[in-house]
Amino acid sequence: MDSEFAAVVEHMPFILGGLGVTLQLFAYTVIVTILVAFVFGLARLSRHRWLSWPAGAVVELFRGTPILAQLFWAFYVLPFFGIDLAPMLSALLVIGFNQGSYSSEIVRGGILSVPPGQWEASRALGYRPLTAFGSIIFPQALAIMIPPFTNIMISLGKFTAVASLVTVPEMTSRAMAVRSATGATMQVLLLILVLYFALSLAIAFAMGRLEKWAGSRYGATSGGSDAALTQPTGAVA
Amino acid sequence: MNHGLWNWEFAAHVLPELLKGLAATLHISVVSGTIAVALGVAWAVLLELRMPVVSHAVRGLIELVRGTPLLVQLYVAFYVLPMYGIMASAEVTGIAGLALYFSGYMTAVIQAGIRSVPPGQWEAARAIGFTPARTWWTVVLPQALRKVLPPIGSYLLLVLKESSMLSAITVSDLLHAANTIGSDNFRYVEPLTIAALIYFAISYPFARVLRVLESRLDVNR
Repeated sequence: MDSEFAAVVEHMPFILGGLGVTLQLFAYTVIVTILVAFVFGLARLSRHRWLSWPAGAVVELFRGTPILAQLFWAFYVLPFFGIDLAPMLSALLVIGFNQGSYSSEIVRGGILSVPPGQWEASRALGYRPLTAFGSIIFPQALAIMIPPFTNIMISLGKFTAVASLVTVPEMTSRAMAVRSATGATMQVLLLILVLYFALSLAIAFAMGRLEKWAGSRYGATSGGSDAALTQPTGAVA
Repeated sequence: MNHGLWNWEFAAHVLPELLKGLAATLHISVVSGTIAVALGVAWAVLLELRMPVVSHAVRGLIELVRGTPLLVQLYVAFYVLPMYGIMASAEVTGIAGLALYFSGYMTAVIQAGIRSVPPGQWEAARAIGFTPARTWWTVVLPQALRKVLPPIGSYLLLVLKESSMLSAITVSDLLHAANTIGSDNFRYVEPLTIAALIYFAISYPFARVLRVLESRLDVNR
């Protein structure tokens, strides 16, 4: 037992380096997820079919298949078509598009949940449609979106672990390497469980602050993050 | 065999193997999903009863499974538990891990359902002499579960999709079958694409049904 504990201490810098890769991957997937969520969420609300239909097809495709199947497809199949992405890039694109697709429903729902009276009032006040959307509808929708987005952000932190299956040297893959090299199975797995849990707590805390800020600025119209927890991450539109 | 982007002959050749994997995936999803709902109900009731130590333990367990990656939890179940003499096949270990993970998510939904049952239902049940246990079973839980059927359905759909994670602990499910065929033949295009299409063919209609169900329940509210 003691030698196994010593092995974990000895390999600690290696695993913490993996945590660095995990955090990097997390940051990239947050950016891709938010971009995909807003681009596709808004495109699906468009009156133009050539915009809303393809957006809907991509979203349904990503929501209808497992993230691992998508990841392996990007890793093993895309090279057949001449698209050879680095493991890190394929992981961040797949995780980002997958969770972004779920999140596009949050964006769509958030905008649709702003009462129509707000549109009418802004028209009565002489706002142009685009200005009304940007300065009246969108900020209110944003405040509604934050609680469900908290769940997405926590999911993103956890989903980074699947990148270990396509050779990205993040925390889980390094832990598994240390495990097979030292046999300190329990110690190393417990260590990364604790680190992932701390990451989830940090994300939840940061999103809680964001929610409070948006609530005080734009008026919280939602039931808070506890209500959001009862909804799966956008699994039903 | 390695000619062209898509080989129909190879696709037809690997289909039976993939369907065998699909059978395993369906079996895993149904068993795991059922256990997840049952555990979710158990956790929700225990939390609603507000027993001092039990509630905290349940709350802690739920936070833990929801705050860490499913993949790492599966590794713990697969590699660590046997060191303590808990021996089970990879499939049984995977089913249990998947069920525990999703029970954490089901709990919040079911709790919301329980709280949506009007207090008058409790009072009426007491007035006609029902014991608390009987009230839970025959009055509260049936109403609670009916109300939250759509979100539970979405989680069951996630159970199906996330069951593919079990391929990482050597369980021969649909995705594992596709990967094995791919690495044996150095050709991943057909098996992985067909596997993805099979997942989609199950998941998409199921999601559509849930959407209809959800809008129906909305009208009744």
